[in-house]
Amino acid sequence: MLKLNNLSKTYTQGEKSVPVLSDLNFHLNKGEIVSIMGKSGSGKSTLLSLISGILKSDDGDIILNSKSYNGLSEVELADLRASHIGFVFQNFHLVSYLNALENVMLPAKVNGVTNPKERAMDLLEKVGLKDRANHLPSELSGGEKQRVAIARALIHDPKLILADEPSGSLDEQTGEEVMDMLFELVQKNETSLILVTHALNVAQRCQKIYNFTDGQLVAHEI
Amino acid sequence: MKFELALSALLRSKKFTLVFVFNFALAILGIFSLQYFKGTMEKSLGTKARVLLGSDLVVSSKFPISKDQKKLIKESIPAVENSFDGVSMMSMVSSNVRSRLTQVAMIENGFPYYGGMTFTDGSSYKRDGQELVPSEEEIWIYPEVLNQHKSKIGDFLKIGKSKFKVTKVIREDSFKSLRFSGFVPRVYMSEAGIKRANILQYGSTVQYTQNFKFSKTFTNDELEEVETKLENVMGSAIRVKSPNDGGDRIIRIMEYITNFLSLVSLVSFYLGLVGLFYLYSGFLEKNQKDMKVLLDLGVKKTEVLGTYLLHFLSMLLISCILIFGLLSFASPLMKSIISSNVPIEVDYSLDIFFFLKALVLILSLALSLGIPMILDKLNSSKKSLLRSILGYLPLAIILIALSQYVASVKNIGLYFSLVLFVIIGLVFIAGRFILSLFDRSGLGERLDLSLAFKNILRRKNSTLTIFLALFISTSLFSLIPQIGASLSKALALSGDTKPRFFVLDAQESELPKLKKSVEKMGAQLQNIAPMIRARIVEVNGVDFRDFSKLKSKTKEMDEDENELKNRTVNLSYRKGLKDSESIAEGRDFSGDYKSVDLKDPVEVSLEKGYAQRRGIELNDEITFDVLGMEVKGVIVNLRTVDWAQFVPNFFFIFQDGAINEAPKTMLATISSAEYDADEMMINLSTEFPSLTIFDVENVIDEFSKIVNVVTSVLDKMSLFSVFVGLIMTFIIIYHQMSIRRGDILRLKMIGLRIRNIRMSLLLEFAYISMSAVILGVVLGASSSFFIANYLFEGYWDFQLPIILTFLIIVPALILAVVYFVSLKVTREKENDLFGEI
Repeated sequence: MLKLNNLSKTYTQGEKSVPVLSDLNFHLNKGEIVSIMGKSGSGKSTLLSLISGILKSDDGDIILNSKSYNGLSEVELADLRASHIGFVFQNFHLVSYLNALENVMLPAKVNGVTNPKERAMDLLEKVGLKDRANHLPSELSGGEKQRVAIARALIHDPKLILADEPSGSLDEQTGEEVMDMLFELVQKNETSLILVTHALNVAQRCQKIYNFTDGQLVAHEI
Repeated sequence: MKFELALSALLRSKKFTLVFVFNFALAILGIFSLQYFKGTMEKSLGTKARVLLGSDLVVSSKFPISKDQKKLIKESIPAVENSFDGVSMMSMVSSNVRSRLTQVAMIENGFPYYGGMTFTDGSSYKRDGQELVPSEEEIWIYPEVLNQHKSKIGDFLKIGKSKFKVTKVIREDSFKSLRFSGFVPRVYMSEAGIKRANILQYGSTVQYTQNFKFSKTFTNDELEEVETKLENVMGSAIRVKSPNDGGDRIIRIMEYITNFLSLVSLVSFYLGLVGLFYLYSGFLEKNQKDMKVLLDLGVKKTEVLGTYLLHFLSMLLISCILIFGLLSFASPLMKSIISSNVPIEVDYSLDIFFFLKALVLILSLALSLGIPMILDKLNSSKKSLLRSILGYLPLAIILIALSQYVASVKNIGLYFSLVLFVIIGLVFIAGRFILSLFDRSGLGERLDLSLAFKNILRRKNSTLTIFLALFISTSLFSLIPQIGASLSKALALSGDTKPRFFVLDAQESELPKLKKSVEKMGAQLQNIAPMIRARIVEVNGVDFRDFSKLKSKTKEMDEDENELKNRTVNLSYRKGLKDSESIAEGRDFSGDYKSVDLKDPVEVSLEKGYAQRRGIELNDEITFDVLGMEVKGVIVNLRTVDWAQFVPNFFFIFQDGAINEAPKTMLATISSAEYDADEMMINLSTEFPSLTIFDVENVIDEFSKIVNVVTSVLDKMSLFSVFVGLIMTFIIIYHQMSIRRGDILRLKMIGLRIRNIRMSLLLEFAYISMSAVILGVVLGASSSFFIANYLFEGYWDFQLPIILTFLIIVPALILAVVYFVSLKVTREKENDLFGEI
């Protein structure tokens, strides 16, 4: 479903070149749930940015659902991202002036999904927030915001979810509830999930754990 | 530590500091420089008014002022340093060529106490310390008198019983003012000379005056109070004048200009303050995390508040120093530019109190604006809107006080600021309600449109603030040029209509011949009007001639009636309005007067400014004594007159057909053209001995020069306020874009295309700006009408081009700014959302 072939990315700081990814290879199957762990600043966000199509690699290729990123323009990459990838962020990143329903509807509207409102309400019900549909993000708790974010990430049936420390801003209990919900929905929809986390207990819920070290992903079987 | 933190904040954010300092400097440039200019101008105008009067106070009467009256006067006025009993009268001045009725005025050593004269031989009187007056056998005369008699210095003219030698011809006379009576040619002689001439005879029309210079220096307003007090004591027997009664056109116009410029400076300041608020709010938002870090580290809230307050104050002070420096540097240059264009001595000496007052203002602003802004960010719990507004109450009070101080004439500053705050309150209260009404859940068919509406409806504070800023900016900067253009147009003197000569005392029968003679020389006789002398004897039933009633009524009579008592006025009559006039209230004449024997009241048109000054209203009944005949008049309209056109006009115009047969003289103007002015004067004086002609070219040219300078200043200041307003609007938009950065990145991450995001921003600002601009232009235009009527005696001219310009240009400019700023924001990479992982 997702292939990263000999991916390299280097940042330049003044006269110094800092290699972040060095000839990285990675493969993700459909419906597979993996976690990526690593030290802060190791390059995890760069990896996610490359997979999202936001940044372009210096070398190598990314293939998502048989489509290569090489040769795609920024607009085409954005379209690919919009249709194939969903995001769940540590800081939720809901659009502040849209209520829960509208935030969930957004990707559906972007992708031209039919009956976006009904689908959004359905998802909100699944995440237990049907009665909070008309509330703005400022009126929701952390856990509620993350559940809205999960619903938003899934509404357009993406092939892949990128989750960046989804429970990082939540307390333990809420974090667990949110993770339960995320795993449940992802598994139900057979959506692949790449979960970046510092929490081993969360990582251990995934099928595979990868360590990001020296620009490489090293797998650990669970 | 506070100081170090504040300093590091200044140095770290160089770009912000520069922008902030520039913005505030712009805001205060207008208000400080205009206050400085206004202060010096008011001082100079006050001096000019005093120079025109020649003294601090003048008491005048048609009869000799008795000992008892003098005693009463002395008891009612402040301590006198010097006084002069003067006389002036019309007397026949004869030469071998002709005899002409001329004004003869007495002059004494030491008088006038302000001003003086310069002569054609280069000498001066009272200008360079020279104080000697003409001797018993000498006279000083105006050039017109010299020309009329075809005389030269050293020749003799006969006045009364004696002959007098012309020793000086006057080039400049500080008594010569820019009003009709101020043009009359004059002969000056000493007291001994007047005695020698023996022209003070029973039956002579003489004006007796007592001129006072007080020991203490009073302002012109204080002198006006002395005048009022004395008038109440003395009654109708005498007239009292203080410098404020001058009526000189230049002074009046300069007062208009300073009033207008006060308003402009206030407007620019308020606009600048809005920008300042946005800039610093944005800065505080970006630094909110730093503030929290400091608090978490154990720094006290008051310390953090103090740090940022010091930072805020430092930037305000830097702006102040820059502007003060600019003013100090520019003042000698300003002096030379203005002195060469404006015939008023302007004192540009720097006054330390001006700077101190300005510093006090800056400090008050810093505290009243800075403290609530910083506290809003420091406090973790969200305050209610009401509490937030109350936090700014001290600022509102300071701004109201400042507005009143800057534009105190007719309290326009106070009203302006109060109206502004009321508008702000109404917009927020009504606006929030209206926006809530339209809010619906869900996204519509067009995503960009939906997002635009959601932003408008849900970011209520942001929407209303942008709306308000644009609404107020647009109304202010459509108001200012609207008034400025009206004033400029009113003051502009068309070259075609500029007269060269004023002609008085023509007989009606002479007119056709006079017209021919003038045309023969290549000029036109224009603005012919009859003039009839009359006295006001009754107003709305109060008969000034009934002394018993008058005595008892005097104490109750208001100032207006006092002014009108027995007042001699010049009347004229016409069929209707001139082009340069318009009816402000009432209706035009209902045709010619038809009543027999003046049974019915005559319809009268009264000039609006005069009516306001004398307290006369529409439908008031005034009885005139027209050379022994009582004529009752009723005011049917109040009209506005374009006094700047320099054509003869009258305060009172009667309906045609009522007083046409009354003894009258005619006055007119002779147009400017390519002819020999001296020859014109001599020819007409020879052909029409009773005619009085005076050359007004120099005076009008002087006026034109001032008007040109002033209109240029008006236009520039109008543009300045527009410029400031636009800068502030752009600052607001930039601030808005920067606080939406997060949401824009989120939309990009989800997959919304940049062009759609940009379109939603453009749509949002288009709706807000169009509605704000339309309402703002309507408010600005209608306010300009009321302000022009209230402050500038009705000089208002609807300027459609200005309105249309703002309706098109302002939204276009705003959208252009939104587009270009959004280019930057929408190009940012969404990977920022991933954060530190």
